[in-house]
Amino acid sequence: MKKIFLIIICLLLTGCYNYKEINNLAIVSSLAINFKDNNFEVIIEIGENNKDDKYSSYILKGIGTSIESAIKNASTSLNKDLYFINLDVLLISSDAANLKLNKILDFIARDNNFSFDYNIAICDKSEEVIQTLINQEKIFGNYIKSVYDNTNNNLINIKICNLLDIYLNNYQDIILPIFDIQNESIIMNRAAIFNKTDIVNYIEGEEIAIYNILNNNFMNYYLNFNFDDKKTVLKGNNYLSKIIYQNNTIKIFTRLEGNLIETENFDINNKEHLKIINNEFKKRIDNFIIKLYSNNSDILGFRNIIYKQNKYPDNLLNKINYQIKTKIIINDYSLILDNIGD
Amino acid sequence: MKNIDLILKLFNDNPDLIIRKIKKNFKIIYVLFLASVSSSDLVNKYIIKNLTTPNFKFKNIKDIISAPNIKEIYLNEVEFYICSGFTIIIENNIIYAIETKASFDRSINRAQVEPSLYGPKDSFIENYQKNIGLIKRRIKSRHLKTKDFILGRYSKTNVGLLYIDNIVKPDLVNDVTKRLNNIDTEAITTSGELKQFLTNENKNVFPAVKLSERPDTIVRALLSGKIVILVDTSPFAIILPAVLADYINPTDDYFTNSINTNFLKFLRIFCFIITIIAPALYIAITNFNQESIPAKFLMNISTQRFGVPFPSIIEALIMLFVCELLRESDLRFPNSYGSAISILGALIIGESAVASGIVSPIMIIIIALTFLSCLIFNEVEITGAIRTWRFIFLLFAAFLGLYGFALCTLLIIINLCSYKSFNLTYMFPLSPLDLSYLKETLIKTKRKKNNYRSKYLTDNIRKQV
Amino acid sequence: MKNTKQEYNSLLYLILQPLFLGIGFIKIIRDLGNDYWIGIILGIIIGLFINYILHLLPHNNNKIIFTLINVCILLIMTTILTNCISLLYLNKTPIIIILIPLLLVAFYSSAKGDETIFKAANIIVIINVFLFTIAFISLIPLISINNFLPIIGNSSIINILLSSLDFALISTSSLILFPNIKKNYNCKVYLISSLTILIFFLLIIGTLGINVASIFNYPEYIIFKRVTFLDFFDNIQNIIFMMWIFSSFSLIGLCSLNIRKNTNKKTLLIIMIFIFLISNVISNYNLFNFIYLNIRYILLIILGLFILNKIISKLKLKK
Repeated sequence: MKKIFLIIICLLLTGCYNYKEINNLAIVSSLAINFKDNNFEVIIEIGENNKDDKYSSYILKGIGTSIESAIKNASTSLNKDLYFINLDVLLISSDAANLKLNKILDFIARDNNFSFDYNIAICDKSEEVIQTLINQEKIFGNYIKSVYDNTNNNLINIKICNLLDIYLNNYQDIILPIFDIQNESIIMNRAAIFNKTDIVNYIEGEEIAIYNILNNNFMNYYLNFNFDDKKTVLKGNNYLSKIIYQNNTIKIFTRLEGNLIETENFDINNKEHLKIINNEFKKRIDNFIIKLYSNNSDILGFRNIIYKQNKYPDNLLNKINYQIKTKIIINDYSLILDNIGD
Repeated sequence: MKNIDLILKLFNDNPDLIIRKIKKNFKIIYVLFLASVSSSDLVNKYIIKNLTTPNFKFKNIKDIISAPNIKEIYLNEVEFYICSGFTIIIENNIIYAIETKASFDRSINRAQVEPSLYGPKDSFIENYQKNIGLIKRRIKSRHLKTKDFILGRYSKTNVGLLYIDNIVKPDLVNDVTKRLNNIDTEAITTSGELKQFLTNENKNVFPAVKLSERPDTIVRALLSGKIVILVDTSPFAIILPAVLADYINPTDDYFTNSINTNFLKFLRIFCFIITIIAPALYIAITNFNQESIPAKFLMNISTQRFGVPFPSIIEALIMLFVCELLRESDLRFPNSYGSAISILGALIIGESAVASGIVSPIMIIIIALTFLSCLIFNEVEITGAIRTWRFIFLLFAAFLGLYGFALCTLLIIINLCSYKSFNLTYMFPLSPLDLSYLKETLIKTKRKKNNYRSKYLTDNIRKQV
Repeated sequence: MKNTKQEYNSLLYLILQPLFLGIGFIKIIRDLGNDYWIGIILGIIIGLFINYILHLLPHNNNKIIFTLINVCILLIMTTILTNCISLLYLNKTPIIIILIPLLLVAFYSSAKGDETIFKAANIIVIINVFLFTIAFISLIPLISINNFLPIIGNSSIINILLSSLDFALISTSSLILFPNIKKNYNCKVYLISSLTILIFFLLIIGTLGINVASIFNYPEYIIFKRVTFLDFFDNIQNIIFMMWIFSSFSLIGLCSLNIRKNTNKKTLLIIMIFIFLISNVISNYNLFNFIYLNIRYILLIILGLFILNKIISKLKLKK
């Protein structure tokens, strides 16, 4: 027992260097990095909760030549220690994404205080976007995280672990969602596609939905098309896509199951009608891939799939042939059998 | 001088020494006894009545005294026998001692310290022979042997060593006999004092022998190869050797279904771990490694700790001190003073401490969890040992965070594994992994699978099924 | 009480793993890339072969050389462990404050006799297996089979052989500290321990992918960052990582016990003060880097010293 007391006395002579009180932590909820005039500009949103169960937050800004110095300049007279583990959203401006994405990823991966499950997005007006939500008494990071967790809208959901994996891979290009603001509400339905490290084009709306289907991302998909000049909507519940490489062509198989939501005069048992839907679906996927080919942006990872089978793919996407096969299964007419009215 | 004058000189100042001179057959017979420890009824029934009835000639006093226990003794043993309640008869300079003890015992009561729901509720009392009787009533075998010792210069207490001779290891019996023979002290009043002589008490805070007041626990211990020591005037018996798994395991488990019991055993082991590590883990996580706290909870804790001026370690020490005060005062306080004290305690810990900003509510929950888990163990030595280790863990975690917590875990494991209780490692069923003893203490299996005794405690490993 | 066979096996299982911490994983992943599994399987075979040779050697040890071997491995393990803890747990604390309690607890464990560390290993194995199971079950949903392809990369045969030699040396070097290898040795334990390491490799490559795993210094810590339990506990990497602290400590404890048995208490104290002074003079990172770059040669020299040790003691016996 005496030896244990000796060890304890030795302990008492140490100091507490890593001791941090919970009250003295500034819990960062979102971080925005912009790059202007050779300087990094950093916007930090720190959440705090008052005692009345209301959550509020405030913003700090700082400018510096490197990311670390910008963060330090932002928090020089803050009375707390910045705490990044519970970070929810990282926003990057398009300049930063084009020119300095490697430095940002380097900074994030090197620090032990960043976790691995927060979202990344491109946003050019980050201060406005964050301030709008603060004025509505919400915390920006929590809001975005709950949007991604709770809804099945067609959004692109990129987390840091996926991004690092694709970025370090020579055979695939990255895609990042874009946040924008319009009339005091946030719009998230656009995305930027990259070719190596530069943004080459943008995709939106229907194309994002097709991208989610081809990546098995489980969002709801609404297929709008005209049938006999009347609008019909198919809601896809389940889908499964497989992309394989066989006989020097990329083969894409997609299977979509769904219900008809709005329809007039559509007959499920009629094979001609089903063929029309299938062709419509195929046409959309084809348009999407043509857009990717024309911008040489390989976000679906075709070259990666070829590499995984031990062959070395070309650098240009145009030289890869592809083939699409789709299958649509309509379960039933939903709850009612015949149309109402008409 | 004659024997009677020597004896009267020894007991000069005792007003309760009663001397009766009887003339019989031209001889004088002296009857001496102490009124405080002998029963005058028995003296009358066995001795005086028989000696004073006009009777035929007798050669030997032993023929007409109707007591069951008569001995012939020497002069130097008179002090022991007369103080133990025997009556001394001196005839022709021969001294006889006859057993006429008064009974000072209470009747056999319910067990106070180790209650049970469905088990037998009788417990030991302060009479040595009656305690042995309670045990022999449950083991009716000639293999149950007893060895008697008389310890203490002034108290001359009867101490008995019980074992079943075809189960127990003879080395253990010899070792304990040697230790008991080496005891030289003034008085041994309780089995707790005797416990100190048997173990080397400064080596470790955990106890190496177990005290019990229930005969059915004793019987089970005897049947698995352990030794039991009974002390006169003490209602607790000593079981040795005892390992850590014995304290986490009350006897009630033998009465219920094995699936139900295993859940409760798991709960008890979990409580043993929680009661040692809970405050330390809380302090290590909230002060050094805050990332382990789930995010939704982090803001909550931050709000709760808002107005508290002390660092967490001081809060923890204050609350532990207050809870130890409460527990100690609960033990010493007589029951008849009412519930005002418990209300006072609840008020201190409850609303007021939090409202006045001295401690935060989350700390009260942690300390309450710690203490509730500690209430499962009713042996005082174990709670003391747990308390010591809780403080050591707290200190390590407060200075070095989770790394200090890991080091202290290693420290307690090394400490427990190096401690031996009568040549048996303290972490016995786990450390030399012994399935048969494990099935008796830490998990419960079906009756058919529990057929063997542990080979570390005994050589006779097959139970007679 | 004498030690049972089961306690020997537990300690053997524990000491065959910790030398991989910080050095083993990243060296094989960076050298071989996608061919890591070929290197590991070859390494296990070479390791079995080395084990068989060590099994045949005679029992006695020359005291001086054996103490020297123990001091080397103690120094290596302490450097690895303090570097790891200083980076991951307590990043502002000076190294001395991390080092001193560790050496004191090791000294305490050596003072408690021959059998303590074996019995403690029994209990530490239970804790390690429990923590590893939690991590394994939580990480299985995150494994994607695409990360394992392409199965065969393009490393040269010399690189594969050298890396398999690395794996064999790192996983069997601790065996030389074990008392009485002839009687207590069991090749099943070596296979189980290597299998655990192989499962670690598969988890690292499966969850992170080969590209991400090569950039980190401690990929075995990074995979624990992705463990989420019941959708409520995340970021519990510091608690699960304690399994490596426990197994490293069992190796340090065995080294201290051997030094104390072959010499006396004062020598052990002097050696610990010597380690403490070294870490004051040379920066911990330089030492760790030196060990990382030259681990193959260091362990070969240690094995050579061990065989020399047996030869000398056999010659002395013959005299």
